[in-house]
Amino acid sequence: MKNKLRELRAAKEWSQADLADKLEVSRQTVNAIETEKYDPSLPLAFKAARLFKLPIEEIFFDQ
Amino acid sequence: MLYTGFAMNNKPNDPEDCINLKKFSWRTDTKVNYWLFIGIVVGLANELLFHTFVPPVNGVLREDFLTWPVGIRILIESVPLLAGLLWARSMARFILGMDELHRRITVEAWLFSAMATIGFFSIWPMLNAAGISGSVYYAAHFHGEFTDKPHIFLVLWLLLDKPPSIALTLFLLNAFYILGYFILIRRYK
Repeated sequence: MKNKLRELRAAKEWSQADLADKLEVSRQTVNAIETEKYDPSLPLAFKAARLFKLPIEEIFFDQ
Repeated sequence: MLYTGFAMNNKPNDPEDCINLKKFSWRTDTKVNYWLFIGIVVGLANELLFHTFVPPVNGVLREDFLTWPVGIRILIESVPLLAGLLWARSMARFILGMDELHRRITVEAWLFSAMATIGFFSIWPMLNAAGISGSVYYAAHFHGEFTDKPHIFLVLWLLLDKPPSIALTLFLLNAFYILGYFILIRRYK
């Protein structure tokens, strides 16, 4: 699964650690999601969508 | 990382606080693995004091132990198992407080650890029959006699040349867990 988390985070000028704090996960988890090595659970994806005020499918999508 | 109380489920819990030397935290490790240390130390003491039938203990303490009241003997033998169960409880609460990625890796690492430990104990009698403990036994000798001080090969032989002990089981579970964690975390780096 692809995602735009890195671009969205950069637009807000947040570090990975900042985003990790807001999502209540570890920095390694944010890094693994951004590098598309790990697909987040649905609750975490919804939390990211709420944080960026975007529909979930605009952040996470197939190809 | 952050801990605000004795309970292990205060988020976030980072498994690397206990196994990665670069991030190691004695405080966290002690909270998670306190009962593991107790279990191994008491189990090892039980092994060496009550179940050893070779020099330098020479079986004297073991025979003496058998004259003790059965309740006391059962209590002494059960301490490492109880400690192991309390360790499992601490670890479960620690895992519940992890974020989803670390929780997944840790659970997979525990599965790896359990299977590896079962595999070790399954294959050990055959390795033993093939002469592995004999090799360790001869390595424990210096000039044909046992040394006065405990020797690593002697301790290894005492632990391995007999049915598996709870101390060895706890030790192997933790060792295979650490190995499994480092294998599995590589996927996400």
